[in-house]
Amino acid sequence: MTPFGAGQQELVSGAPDQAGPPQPPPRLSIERLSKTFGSALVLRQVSLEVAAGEVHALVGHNGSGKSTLVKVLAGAHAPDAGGSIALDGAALPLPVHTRDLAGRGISFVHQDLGLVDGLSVTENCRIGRFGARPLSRRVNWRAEHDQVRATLARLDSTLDPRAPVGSLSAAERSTVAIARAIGDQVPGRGLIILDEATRALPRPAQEHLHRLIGGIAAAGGAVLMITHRVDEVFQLAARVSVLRDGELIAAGLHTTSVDRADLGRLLVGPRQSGPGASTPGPATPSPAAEPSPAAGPAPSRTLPPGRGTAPSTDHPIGVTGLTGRVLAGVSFGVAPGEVLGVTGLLGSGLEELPALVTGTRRAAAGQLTVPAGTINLARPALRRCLDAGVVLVPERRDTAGLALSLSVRENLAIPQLRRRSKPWWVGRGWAEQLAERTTAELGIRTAGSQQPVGQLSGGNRQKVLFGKWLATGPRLLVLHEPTQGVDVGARAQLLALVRQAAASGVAIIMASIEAEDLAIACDRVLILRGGGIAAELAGPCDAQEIVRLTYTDPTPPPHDSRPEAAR
Amino acid sequence: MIDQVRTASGRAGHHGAQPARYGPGPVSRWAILGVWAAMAGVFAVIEPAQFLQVGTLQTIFGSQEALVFISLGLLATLIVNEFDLSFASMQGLAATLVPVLAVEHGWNVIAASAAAILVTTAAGAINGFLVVRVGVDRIVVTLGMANVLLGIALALANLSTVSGLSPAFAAIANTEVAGLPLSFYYGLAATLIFAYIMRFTPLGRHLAFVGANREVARLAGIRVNRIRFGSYVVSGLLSGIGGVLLVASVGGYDPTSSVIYLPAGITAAFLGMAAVRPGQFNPVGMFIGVYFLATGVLGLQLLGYTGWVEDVFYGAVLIAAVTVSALLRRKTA
Repeated sequence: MTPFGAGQQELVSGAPDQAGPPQPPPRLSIERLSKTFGSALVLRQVSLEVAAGEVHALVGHNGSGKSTLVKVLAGAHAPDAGGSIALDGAALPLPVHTRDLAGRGISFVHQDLGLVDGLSVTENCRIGRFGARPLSRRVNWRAEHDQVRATLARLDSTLDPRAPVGSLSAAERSTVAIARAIGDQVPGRGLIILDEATRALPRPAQEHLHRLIGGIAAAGGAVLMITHRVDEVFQLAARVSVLRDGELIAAGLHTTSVDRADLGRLLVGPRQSGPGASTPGPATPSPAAEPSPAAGPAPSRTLPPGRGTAPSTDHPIGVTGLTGRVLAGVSFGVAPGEVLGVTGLLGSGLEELPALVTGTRRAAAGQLTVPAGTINLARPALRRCLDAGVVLVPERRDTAGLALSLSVRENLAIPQLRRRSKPWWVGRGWAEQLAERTTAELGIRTAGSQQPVGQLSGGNRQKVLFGKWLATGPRLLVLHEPTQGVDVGARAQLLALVRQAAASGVAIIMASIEAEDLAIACDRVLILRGGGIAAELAGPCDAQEIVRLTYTDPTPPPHDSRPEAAR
Repeated sequence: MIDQVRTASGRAGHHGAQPARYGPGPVSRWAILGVWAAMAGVFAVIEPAQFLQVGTLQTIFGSQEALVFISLGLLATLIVNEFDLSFASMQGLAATLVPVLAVEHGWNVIAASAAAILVTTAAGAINGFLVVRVGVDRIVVTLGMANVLLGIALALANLSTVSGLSPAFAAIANTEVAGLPLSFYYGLAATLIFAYIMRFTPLGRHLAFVGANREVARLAGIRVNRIRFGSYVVSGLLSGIGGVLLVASVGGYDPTSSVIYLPAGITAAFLGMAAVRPGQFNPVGMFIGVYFLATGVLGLQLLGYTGWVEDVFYGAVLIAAVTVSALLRRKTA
C-alpha cells in the first residue's frame, strides 16, 4: 500500500521503455494529449498505453476528463496540437476522423450499450456498413445475416441475427454490443473502447459482458475500459490508469499491486489521504482555489453547534414515503441550517430525488412537510412548493436553469416577478437592486446586469442560478449537482456559498455524485442504492468513506429476474 | 432606449471600465430605417413623377392596418416559441363573415363584426388546444386550420367577392386624421400596447422567458401551458380584428386574396427581428417591417412590375431578414 498523498510523484508508468527493440509497439499509444475548451484545460499532457491482449481500465470521477478523452479518440473533439495517438506503432492522423477508426480496428461500446431496440441484431451490428448488391443496390440480407452469425459464433453465441434487439435479455444485448464492436476486427487484433458500457446493466449481464471482454483480451485483442466502478476494475482489468482534473495521476498500475483504498485515494485526490479518516477534514478546500474576496470565508468544516443528527421525525422539514420511478418509499428529514447530502450511483434514484422533492416532477407517492403545511407530492405541487419556499436549483443549468439569451438581471428577477411587481408595471428599481446585491454577495463576475447570461463562464452561470433561487428567501433549497461544469476556484466558492446559506437558516438538500463536495459542504450524507437509503453518514463526513459506501456494495443488488441464457 | 442609456451611464460610474452595451449597437438596431430610406431614395430617383407624391405616402401608411394586426397575432405566438400559420386564413374568414352576415343575412354590422372576431378567436383556441393540450405538431395543426378556414370562407362567399357594406361602417376605418386613416392609428396603438406589455409588465417578461426557455419558465412557477394556449387565442383575436378593419376600409372582400397575407405577415414578423431589438421578435420592429414591405411593393409596382412582384419581394426580404438576424445573433452570442 503506497501513500499517494504527494500526488505527482506517484506517476507510475507501466509501459515498457522505448529502448527495448524486441518489444512490439503497444496496441494503443497516446502521447502528451491535451485538450482545452476556451480557457479551461480539460486534458493535460495525457500519455497512456494499452498493450495487445490487455484489459486496461481508465477510471476517474465526473469532470476528470474521461469522457473528453473518449471523445477525442472517437473524433468528436479535436485535440490540441502537440499530442499524438498511435495504433500498433502507426500514428493516427489528428484530429481523429471517424472513417479511420473502423479501418484501423478501433470500435466503441457506448454508454448503456447504444443499441436500437426496434431493429434486428443484424441491423444493430451492421448499421453504417451494409454491403449492397452490385446492380440493384439492395442490401444483401443473407450475406449480412451470415456475417453477423459468424461474428456471434466467435462469442460462442447462437443468437438469431433476425431477432429484434428489444426482445433480447440484458445478457444477450451485451453480446450484440460486443459483436458489433468486434465485427470489423481481425481476431486477436484491434482495440475496443468501452465507454461506461456497464453502467446500467443488471449484475448477471455485467458478468456475462465481463466474460466476453476477458475472452477478447485472451485472444489478443486490446480493451480500454472507461468506468467509474471500482469493482469492475479489479474483476477485469490487468492495469488501471487514473484521471483526475484532466491529469493522468497514475498510468498503467498493475491491479495486483494496488487495492481499493489506494484507488479510492487516487480518485479523490491527495487532500483526503492519510489513514486516519476521522481527522477533522481538510484545512483548505482546494489549494488551487483562487481567493474569493466577495464570496466570504472559505468553506468551513467547523459545523454550527447542534447540527442535526436527530431522527428524521424531529426535523421540521420532512419527506415521507417518496416514491418515483426508482425511489421506493424514501423518508428523511432536514433541519433549518443543515446541509443534507444525498448521493448514489446511477440508477439509485439520486437523479430523480431533487425534482420529486420540489414538486417539479410528479411523484408516484410521497409527502413533503414544511412549516407551512404538508404538500402531497403525488399531485401537481410545483406552485405550492414555490409558495412554501421549496425551490430547486436544477441539474441541467443551461437547459433547465437559466435562459441564456436573457440578461443576468432578468434571470435573477424571474422567480420574484409575480410577487414584486404590479400587473401593469414591472418596475426596474427592485430588479436592478437585486442584481447588484446578488452579483456582489455571490461574487458573480459580469460586465453589468444587462449582460446576457450566455456570455458568462460556467462558474458564474452556476452562481447566477444559485443566486436566483437563494434570493427568493427559501426555506428548503434543493441543489442538484451544484458544482457541475465549473472550475476548481468557482467550485470552492459555490460550496462556501452553500455553507453560508445554511448558516443563515436555510435547510439545504444537496444531491451530488461528487464525494469531495459532499464532504466539504454537508453535515450529513444519505447514500442511496436501488431506490432506498442504504447508508447514512453523520458528523464530519469523509470523502473516502462516501466513495467507499457509494461504489462498493456490501449487499449484492437484486438479480435480474429474467433467466439469463448466456451463451 | 432611454432606460438602457441611463443604466449604461450608471454602470460606467460604478465600474468605470466596461462599456455598457450588449448586443448590437444603435447602428444595427436601426439599420432597417437606413435601408428603408435608401430604397425610397432609389424609387424617388427612378420614378420621381409618381413616387414623390403625397398620395404615395398615404397609400403606404394608409393601407397596411390589416397586415399590422395579423403580424402582431403571429408575433404573439412567435414570442413564446410557437408558430401560427393560420393567421391569414383567420383574417380572411373574418373579412368574409362580416359582409356575409351584415349584407346577406341582415345582421347589425357591429354584431357581425363581433361574431367574426369571436369565430377567429375560437379557431385560435382550437389551435391552442390541439398544440398545447393534445401535443400535436404546431405547423401541422395551424396549416390544417388555415386550409379549413380558407375553404369555409370560400364557401360562404360562393367563391366570389362579397361586398355591399355601408359607407357608415367604412368610417370607423377610413376617417382621416392628420392625413392618414383611423385604421393606421389603430395599428399603431395596438403595436405600442403590445410593446408596452412585452417590456414593462410581468406578463411580458414571463412571455420572454417562455420563449427563451420553457423549462426555466416552468421551474420559476410560470404557467407555461396557459401562456402558450393564450398566444394562439390572441393570434385568433388579432387576426379577426385585422379582418374586420380590412373589410371595413375596402367595403367588400374576396377570400381568394387571403393567400398573399401569409408570406407578408411572416416576412414582417421576421423582418422586425432585424430591428430595434435585433435577434428578438419585437412589435416595434415588426411595425416598421410592415411599412418597409409596403414601400418596396408600391415602389416596384410603380416601376411597372405588377402581380407577381409581391411574392418575389416578400420571399426575398424574408430570406434576407432571417439571414441578417441569424448573423447578428451569431455575432452577439
